[in-house]
Amino acid sequence: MKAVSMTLPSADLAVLGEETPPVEEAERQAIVGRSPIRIAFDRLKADKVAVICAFIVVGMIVLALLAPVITGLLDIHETTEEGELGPTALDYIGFPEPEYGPPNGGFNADHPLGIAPRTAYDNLAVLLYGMRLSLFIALVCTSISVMIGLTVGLVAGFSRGWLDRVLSFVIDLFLSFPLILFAIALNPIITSRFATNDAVRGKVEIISLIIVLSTLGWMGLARLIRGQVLSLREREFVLAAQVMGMPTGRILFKEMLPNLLASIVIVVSFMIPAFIASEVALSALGIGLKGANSLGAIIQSSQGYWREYPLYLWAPVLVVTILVIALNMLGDSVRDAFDPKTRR
Amino acid sequence: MRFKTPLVALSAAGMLSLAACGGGTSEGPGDISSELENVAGKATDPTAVGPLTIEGATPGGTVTVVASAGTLSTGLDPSNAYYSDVMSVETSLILRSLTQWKYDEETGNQVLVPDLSVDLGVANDDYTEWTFTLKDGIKYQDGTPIVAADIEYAVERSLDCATNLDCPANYLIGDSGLLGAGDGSKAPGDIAGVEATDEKTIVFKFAQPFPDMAYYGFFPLFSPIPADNPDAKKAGYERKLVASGPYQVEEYSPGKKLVLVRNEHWDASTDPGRAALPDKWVFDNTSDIVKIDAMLLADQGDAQTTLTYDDIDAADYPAFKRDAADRLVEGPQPLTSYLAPDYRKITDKKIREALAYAYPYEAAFKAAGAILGVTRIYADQILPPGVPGRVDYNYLPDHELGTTDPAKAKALLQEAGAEGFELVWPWFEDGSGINTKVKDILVKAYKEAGFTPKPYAATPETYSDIRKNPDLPINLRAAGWFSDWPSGGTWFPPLLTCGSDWKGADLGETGFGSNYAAFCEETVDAKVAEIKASPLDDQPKLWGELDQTIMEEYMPWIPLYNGGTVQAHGSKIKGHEIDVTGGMPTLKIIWVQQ
Repeated sequence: MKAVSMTLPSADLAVLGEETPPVEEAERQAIVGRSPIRIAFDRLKADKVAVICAFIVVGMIVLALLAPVITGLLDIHETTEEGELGPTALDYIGFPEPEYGPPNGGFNADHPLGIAPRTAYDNLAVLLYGMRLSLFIALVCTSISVMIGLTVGLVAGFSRGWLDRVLSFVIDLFLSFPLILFAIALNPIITSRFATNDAVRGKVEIISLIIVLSTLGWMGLARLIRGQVLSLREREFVLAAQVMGMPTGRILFKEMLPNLLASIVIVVSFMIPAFIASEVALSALGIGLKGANSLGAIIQSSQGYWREYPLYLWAPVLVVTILVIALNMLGDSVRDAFDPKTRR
Repeated sequence: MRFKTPLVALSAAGMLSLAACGGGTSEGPGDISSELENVAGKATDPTAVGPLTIEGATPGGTVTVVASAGTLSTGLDPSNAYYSDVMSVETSLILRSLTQWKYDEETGNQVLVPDLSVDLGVANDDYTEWTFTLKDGIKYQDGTPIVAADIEYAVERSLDCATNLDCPANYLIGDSGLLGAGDGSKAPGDIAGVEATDEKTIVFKFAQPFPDMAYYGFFPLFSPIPADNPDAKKAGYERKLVASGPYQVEEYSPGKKLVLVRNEHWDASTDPGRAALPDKWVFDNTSDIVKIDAMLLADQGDAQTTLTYDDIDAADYPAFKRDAADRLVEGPQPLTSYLAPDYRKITDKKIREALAYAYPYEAAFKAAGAILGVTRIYADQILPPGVPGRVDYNYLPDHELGTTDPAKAKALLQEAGAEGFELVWPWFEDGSGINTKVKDILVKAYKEAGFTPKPYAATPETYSDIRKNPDLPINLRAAGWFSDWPSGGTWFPPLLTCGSDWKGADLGETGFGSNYAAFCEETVDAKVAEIKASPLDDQPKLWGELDQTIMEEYMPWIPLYNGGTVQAHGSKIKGHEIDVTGGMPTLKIIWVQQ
């Protein structure tokens, strides 16, 4: 039997379902067989907001993944590669010539969102690749943060004594670390270390941003997990496992982890949008990505054009807003679905 | 002369961009090329007398000058003032020198007129000795009279280029400078080359002819510093600056804020160039260009008495043209921005020619946010338009200015047997990502032309050190230069001659100085010395010819663009024009409508 069912007796679950009429004994048996994940998932499916948000998020992920395909099909280009428009597509102040779309001309089917001033790159192509990079960074950061946070939280919560104190101190230490200062300090180091190797420097810049964001993003999860483990480890099934001589690793990952799954899913669902927003904020402040093409970097380069070429700025801003709101609302629904104590 | 700020210098020069002729179908660029002929006044008026009156102008009010962070950050010490914004603010408002520039409303040009001196100086026959006589009734802010010994002290103080690192006194030191001035490595003490013979007379003695002394005389380093002022002997004099001009410093926070109030002891009748009508000036150097543009466009409240000397952002140019065309001021600057291939490392002229064909002028300039034809005009030679004697020619006759021809570049590289030639140039990443985009464009263009591009990344803080380090594996640098005054004499000697301890490929201890191309040819050095010794009237023509000779024979530079500036002001600011000697506003004649 799974450990989870011990914490969530079937009687509780039945109460939580949508007004369930009194049921026959046979049907009752069937419900007992559903796992909590399954139950949560069913609740999610019934939540209209969750479904819409999930569609938006999945759609954006698909768009991002298919960026090379889409740009290839539309023959649009995100950077200085073969086939992009040259400086002749721009007028003497760097605004797009009317035939290439806004702000001086009308809609142009070849360039659905227009072309960028100054560089003449296609805005849609840039946006798709920007989404791709920002989502990639957010997902990688989330995975790293979850791994670190989970391990530290489990070990700290379970270990009692000095190890717990040391790990808690480490968590506090990282919590007090100023993120922006770290990001600012790291950049010149990378620049001077990789000064002569342009290709590597660009990649290292992305990796360093991932490191900055994820090393400073795991502490919340670690604290949460530690707290839960503190209470879980006194529960009978854990004590029983210990008495039976089960190895610690097995207790941690086979007995406790499944009970923490709900918390983890909830935290992750909020972490992803938070990381997207952090990347955008750092890059838009000019201390995140500069060379690479991310949503934040796009907004940074377009903010001067808010008056004369609004589409250039509002398209990426709208994408970030929709993406973050959808992810946050989805996270809300996930929490509602997983938390047996909330009710709609 | 250098750009407004170290950082602006870097970004403008570092990004290497900009040029002329909008290929655009929308409204064409303002016609600045004709104005360029005015760059840096040629006229002089030794008899001009004060006071300067402006018809219809009202005194009083406060002028706020906003500029982006990094401007006015190079310090106010007159012995070290060599950036155009500091020089303009000091010479226009706070300090008086031997001579000064006066705005001529009819031509829009600047005219050289006397300042503390009664005339523009008297030279001996071979221009090795200059005598200036001071006016009566000139005083410091505390009321004590200005004497010639104070100017002698100020000049001697400036000769120590180990302390005054920007070294505006570079024309006074070395073998051709003042007698006994030394090489700038230490303070020379009391020297024979500058002598106050009485309270009103100061004499300069040069080792070699120096015909441009009257022009040089407007530099802040010639403004008097009380010889007995203990603050001047210590670091940080810039915070205790003793004013001789119409305003004195009320509050100064380096690189952030400067507040100037009236100096009651300044006598307008002794000053032919300064109207000094506002009561107070506030310089705020902590803003950014997007904010400045928005504020000036809205023109509400204090913004009506505000002006900026930053170029407005290209993104806001259409809005200014549409809504505030009358508050937009465009004008030229005596600037040439250029690529300097390292003459020690890129020895084949064909490779340098290939570079001229490979450079993506239009793409790079547009990516950098230039207003083509206004802030950047494709350059065809070393001297910027407006320098007397400038010959009209194109340094590469087969190369149409501003065009990029990768095929031709490839062919030249093949002829030189240097396919895949490695180009290493420094650049820095800025917060806006613009430099990165320009770098990408350069990489692509050089690659297409058959070079192997290797950008060398720096940070904004380290860029200028990396650029001036002669020992790094860098072979291409970008730089820009302003005329110090309208003469070839401010271009070839500092920029294209061997340094004094130059030993072949080894640059000695002085490094590049301003000669980023590391260009060193004895024939050119000899020619420069010859021109400096020639009769004054022949010199402009000779400098112009030397430009052509150097470019056609050696081509040490790839000239990129000549500069222009686009500034804006609030609706109650009057008299804001462009000072063509440095691309700054005409601070001396600006007034507030009451």
